[in-house]
Amino acid sequence: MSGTGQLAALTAREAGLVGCRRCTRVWPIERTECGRCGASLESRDPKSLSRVWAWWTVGVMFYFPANLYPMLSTRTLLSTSESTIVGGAIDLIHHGSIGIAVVILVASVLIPMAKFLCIAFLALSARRNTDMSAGSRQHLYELVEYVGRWSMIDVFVVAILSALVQLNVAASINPGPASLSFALSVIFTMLSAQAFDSRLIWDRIEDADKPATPSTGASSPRQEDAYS
Amino acid sequence: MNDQIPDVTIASSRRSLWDRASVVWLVPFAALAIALGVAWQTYNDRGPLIEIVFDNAAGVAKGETELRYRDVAIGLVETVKFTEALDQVIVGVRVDKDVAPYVDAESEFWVVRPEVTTQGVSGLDTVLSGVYLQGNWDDRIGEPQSTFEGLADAPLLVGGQQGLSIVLRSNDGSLSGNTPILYKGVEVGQVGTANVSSDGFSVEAVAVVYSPYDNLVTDQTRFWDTSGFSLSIGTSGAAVDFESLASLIAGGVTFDTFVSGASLARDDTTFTVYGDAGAARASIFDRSEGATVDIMAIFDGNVSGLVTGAAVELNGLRIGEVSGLNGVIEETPSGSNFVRLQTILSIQPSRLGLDGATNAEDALTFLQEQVDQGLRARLVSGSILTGGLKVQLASVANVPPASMNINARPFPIIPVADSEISDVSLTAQGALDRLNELPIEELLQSATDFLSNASVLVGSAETQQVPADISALLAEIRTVVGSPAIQSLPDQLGNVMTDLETTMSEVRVILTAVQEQEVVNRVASAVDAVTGLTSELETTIEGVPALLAEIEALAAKANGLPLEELLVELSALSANANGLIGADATQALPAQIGQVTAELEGALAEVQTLVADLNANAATTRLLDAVDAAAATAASLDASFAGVPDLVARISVVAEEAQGMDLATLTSEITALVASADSLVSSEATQALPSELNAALSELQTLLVSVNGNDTVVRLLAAVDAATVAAEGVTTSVEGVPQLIENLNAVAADAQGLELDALIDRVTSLVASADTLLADEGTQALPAELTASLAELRSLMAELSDGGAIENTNAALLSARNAADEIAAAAETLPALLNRANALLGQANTTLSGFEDTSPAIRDARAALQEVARAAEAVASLARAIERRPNSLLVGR
Repeated sequence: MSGTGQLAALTAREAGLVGCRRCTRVWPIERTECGRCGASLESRDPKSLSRVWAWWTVGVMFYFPANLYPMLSTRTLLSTSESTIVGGAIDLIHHGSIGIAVVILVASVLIPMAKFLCIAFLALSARRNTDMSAGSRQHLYELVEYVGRWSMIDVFVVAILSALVQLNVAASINPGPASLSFALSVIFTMLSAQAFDSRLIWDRIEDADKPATPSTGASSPRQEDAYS
Repeated sequence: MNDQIPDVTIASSRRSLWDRASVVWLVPFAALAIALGVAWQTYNDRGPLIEIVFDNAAGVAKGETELRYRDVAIGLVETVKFTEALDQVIVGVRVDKDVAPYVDAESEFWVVRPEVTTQGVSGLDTVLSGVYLQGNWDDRIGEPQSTFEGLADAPLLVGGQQGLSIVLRSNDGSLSGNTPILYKGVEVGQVGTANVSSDGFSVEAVAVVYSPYDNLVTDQTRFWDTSGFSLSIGTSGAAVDFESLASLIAGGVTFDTFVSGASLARDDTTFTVYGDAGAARASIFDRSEGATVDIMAIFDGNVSGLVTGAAVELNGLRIGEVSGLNGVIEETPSGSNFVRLQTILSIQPSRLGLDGATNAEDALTFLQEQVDQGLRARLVSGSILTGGLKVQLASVANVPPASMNINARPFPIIPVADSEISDVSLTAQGALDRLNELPIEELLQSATDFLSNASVLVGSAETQQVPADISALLAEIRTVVGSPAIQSLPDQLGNVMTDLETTMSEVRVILTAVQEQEVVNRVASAVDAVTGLTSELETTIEGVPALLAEIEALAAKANGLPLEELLVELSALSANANGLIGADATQALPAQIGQVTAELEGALAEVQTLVADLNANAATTRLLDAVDAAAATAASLDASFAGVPDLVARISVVAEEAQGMDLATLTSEITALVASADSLVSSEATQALPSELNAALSELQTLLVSVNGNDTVVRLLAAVDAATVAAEGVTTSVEGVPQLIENLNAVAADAQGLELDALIDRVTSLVASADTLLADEGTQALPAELTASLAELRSLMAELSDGGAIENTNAALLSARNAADEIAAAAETLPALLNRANALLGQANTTLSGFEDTSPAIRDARAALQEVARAAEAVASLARAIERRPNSLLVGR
């Protein structure tokens, strides 16, 4: 491939190539189907962000009932107590179990919230300038993807407790409506994170390089206009 | 390399929204749609929010407490808040949409809590689940309402229960709330919470009688309280009565319809609760006179004694009663407050004497008119004893005009007049004072003394000793009777009888001889004489009943004498006699008698021989002579007895006289005498007498043995001859007897005329003197002397037995024959003697008749008697002096 000094930042797309995301075979960019594994080839997923936002929206939607409705319904002989996630954590703090409360708060509140924020940030930063370097954002994306599966730990706890504590009349623990919501929220968040095309992170670098030659404008709307 | 970059179609990032939109977006939209749908559905399904205001919402929690209808949850409490004044709780309840239309204005709500009462445990499920709200409404859709007033307690009719709702009222506190209504022990209803009525005079409670039992309640039904139990003791025994154990603990109300035919009661009818079944039953007849009219009177001052139930009288007729009493504060014109007694008078209009159907208005009008004419209520004394008061409606003169306050509340007020209360306490005080002054203490003291004296008398050792002594005496007699000697007596007597039999056979021979010599005629004449004698006796006996009557009267008189002391003395005497009989010597007497009997047997054998001899010696002829003489004697006696009836009559009269005498004193004297005799008997010497008697008897026995051994028959024959002669003489002598009897009659007649009372007095004093004499030591020594003389007699008999006693006896018999001859001779002179005696008696008669007239003689006799008494007293005092100082005999002082 011939290139200029700019070749240092030459991307496959600029080189007219596209890589299969399944078997990583590189094909000319014209091909729409991998000749080796049969997967469809796309230089960029045009609906990636759209799907990200769609899943993200559903995840956030389910996150509200997950926090408003009780997570656990604990029924003992004389009383039934239902507690939300935060309410239960606060109860634990009142009872002195700060460590457990911190774990719950981190796993059930902090991490999901952080994921929402991270995904939204990544999705937004795919189109906008940001102070964060592309490498950091890539790391952030990988972190979100990695942590996502651990978010189900709350749901697991509820499932295990519900299965174990079924002492008929004396005491029983049942999952509350929040547990389902929470599980759905986590699932949709993970889908949202998965829907994100991490290559978009790097597009901005090309875009940032390109204006340096044709124009000096720094305004992104104008840049986007140039694409259209 | 071709630098020509292939034309890459780069799609603009500004593609249409649809192009850029992912199908994934369907998911959030679907989720949103579902969420919105659920939300709308929820909103659409939920019912209205109603607000219930409770005074007490304890246990009601937001989001937990349910609203239930027929125990099915149909709503949930959503809000719990306070009213603005913070005095009530507003509970917001979300009611299910399908039930909400029925929750209309007539709905009732209350809080169900766990409750443990005497009726049982209710709301137990709320212990676990917490309290819940219970709603109650009918099955008709009414005007919707969003705010309700909650009930403090559950209503009586719940969940569509049908029943009769009535009001129970009690004036005397026999109504307690929340109790069952029982009918023949079955719970048929419930009494709600009891409240004091607005006028403060009664207790009221709403109650229900459940269907179908509401048919049992009519206008004439009476309710009464069955709480507690009643104990009655009557002729059929004691009975404890209570309706049921539950009502015993928790109380209860029962009812019955005593009168049939009344119409069924309607809702909200008011019934009175009576204290017991009797009162309820009685009320039927009381109330038949119609409803009462209540008026009010306000009395001044102290009215202690006026109680509920006191009579209200009009002109003395009871027209009602006081049904309530309480104080009322009145404000005077000057502004100060004071308390007056407000009395509720329940008046029965039918007793006011109004014509026709009387009702409350008529009665009030009538009273109003009467008040205008001066009728006033006033307090008068109802009972002197209890100080109770009653209310009198009376026309009082000179009272300031007044009128009834018809509009007063709660009842019209009738004006009052001054009370007329008599001061009962003062009168009672006076009566008590007088009672206090009675000498009750002295009376009681006297009675106590008398009783203690009587007790001492009865309990005295002497009185108690009498039966014991008699008993001992009997025991001793039994011992004597049971002694071998006495037991053997019959055998000996049997022998005697054998001898007698033999003798009788001999006598029969004699009688045969007598028969042959025509003695029958003579005997017949003798028998005639005896017959005449008998008829005389009969005549005599005719007078006897009168005599007996007299004696009986005398005995009655004697009956009244002070015999108790005599009894005591007799007791002592019997005790002593007891000792006497128990003495060894006395015990030995039967043996002696046995021996004597044996001797007698021998003697009879002799007599038998003698009779045989007599038989042989033609004694019959002599005996016939004797019989002749006896017949003559009997004839004479017959003649003599002719005068006897008169004598008996005389004696009867004398007895009458005696009856009138003062025997009591004599009796006491005799008592003393007996006492002296007692001491005499108890003296050692007297005790020694039996032994002496014993000895004498043994001597006699010896003598009889001696007699047995001698031929005394011939002498006896001679003696019989002499006896015959003597009998003849006697016969001759007896001829003078009738005259003698006549004289005796005369003497008795004279004696009848004597002042015997005085004589009795004298005799009494004489007996007293004798008593003193007997009590004297000298007299006491007499038994010893007697004993000594008996000892002498015994020695004499021993001498008789030993030395020439037989000869002496023969001589004695000879002398006896001589004596008999002498008697015969004397008998010949007896007529002369009788003549003299007659003369003497005539003299005595004269003297006695002189006694009647010539008081000096009586005086002399009295003086003589007084002298004798004085002498006896002197002897007694001498004896006492000697007793006190025996040495005075020696020293002469």
